[in-house]
Amino acid sequence: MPMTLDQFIAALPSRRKRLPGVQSCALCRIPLQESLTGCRYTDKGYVCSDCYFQELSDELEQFPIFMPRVHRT
Amino acid sequence: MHTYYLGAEEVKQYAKDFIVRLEKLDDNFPSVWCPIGQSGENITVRLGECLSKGISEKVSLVPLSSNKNTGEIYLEDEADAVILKGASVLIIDSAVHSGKSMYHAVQKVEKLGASQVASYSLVVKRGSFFIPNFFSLLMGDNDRAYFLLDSIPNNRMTPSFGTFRKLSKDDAKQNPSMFDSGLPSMNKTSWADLWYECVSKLSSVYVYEQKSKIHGFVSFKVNNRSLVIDALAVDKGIQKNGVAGSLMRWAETCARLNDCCEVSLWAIKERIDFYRRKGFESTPQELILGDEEYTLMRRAILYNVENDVNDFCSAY
Repeated sequence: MPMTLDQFIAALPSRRKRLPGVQSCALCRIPLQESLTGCRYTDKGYVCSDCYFQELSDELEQFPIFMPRVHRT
Repeated sequence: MHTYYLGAEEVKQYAKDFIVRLEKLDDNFPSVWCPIGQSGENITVRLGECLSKGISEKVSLVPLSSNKNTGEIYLEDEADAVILKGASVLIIDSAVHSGKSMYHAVQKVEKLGASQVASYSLVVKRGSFFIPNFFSLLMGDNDRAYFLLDSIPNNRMTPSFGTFRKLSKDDAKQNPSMFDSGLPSMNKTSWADLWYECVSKLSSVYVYEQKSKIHGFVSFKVNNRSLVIDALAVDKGIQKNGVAGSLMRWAETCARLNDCCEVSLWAIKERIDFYRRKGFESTPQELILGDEEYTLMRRAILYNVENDVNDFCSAY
């Protein structure tokens, strides 16, 4: 049954818990909110920006990005 | 790149204006409202608060959900389809990026027999191919909008201490001329080389420094709406502090500031799979330097802009 506006507003808190699209970071489990936490898709699922860059950081430190270039002598 | 903040009061002002316009539609007033997902529901509540008493009782709610991966729109309760038949419908969302979800929502309710469909979004990005009938704030593709948040996130660089700054002329004289990143070929590059690239090739180089000693850097240039990272490394002595991630994050922020569609980098063959796992995709551009094979990989930073637009960007 379609809801009235009042019913909709009253049901909002319980609906929040079961709405699809509200998910947690696959690594740190914080609830993902695009504008607040970031939401990036990786092989581990959706992750927040902080976890994304932390994982990237660990890899980049081990394997730097470097395009060979001409050196000045 | 601009950041917009719409607090409760600003959203309320936009909602009031929209509702006045909606109520003026009289017999065409959309009596079935279809919010899309949680963000649509948040705005629906604000709109509902502005409705005149007699009119709010006429409104029925039919929530819609979208599948983030496929863009498919579906009714939360399929039994609600019956009231869409012949109804004047309003689709509501808080932010339209590519416009796909809202467009699919309009198509969905039309297919279910709605007599007419209007749409509203608080925020619309300029690159959206769908333009809602009513919208509050039109913003650029690289802009950000924060609305109805209890707190607003700050930009953040980790570690929380130390200095992130641009490479300067004085750094060319630093001794040692480069830290040990563990990559022999890179250790041959000096700060003077990087400074030379800054002044001659319009590269941008940012460094991380502690006690006047550089421990990390990123070098990039902007080319046809793509920010290309050609070097990023961190001193072996300070690794595991998140410095490389912060430099990467800063490069991405600069990409947005420079109106880029994507961040790209030359990945050595052995690391291609890693970047794929982190959302980068390979391009056909390859480079062979001696024994080393590199592939240009890119990651879209604007998810409302299709890859073919990125292709268009890189073609010019």
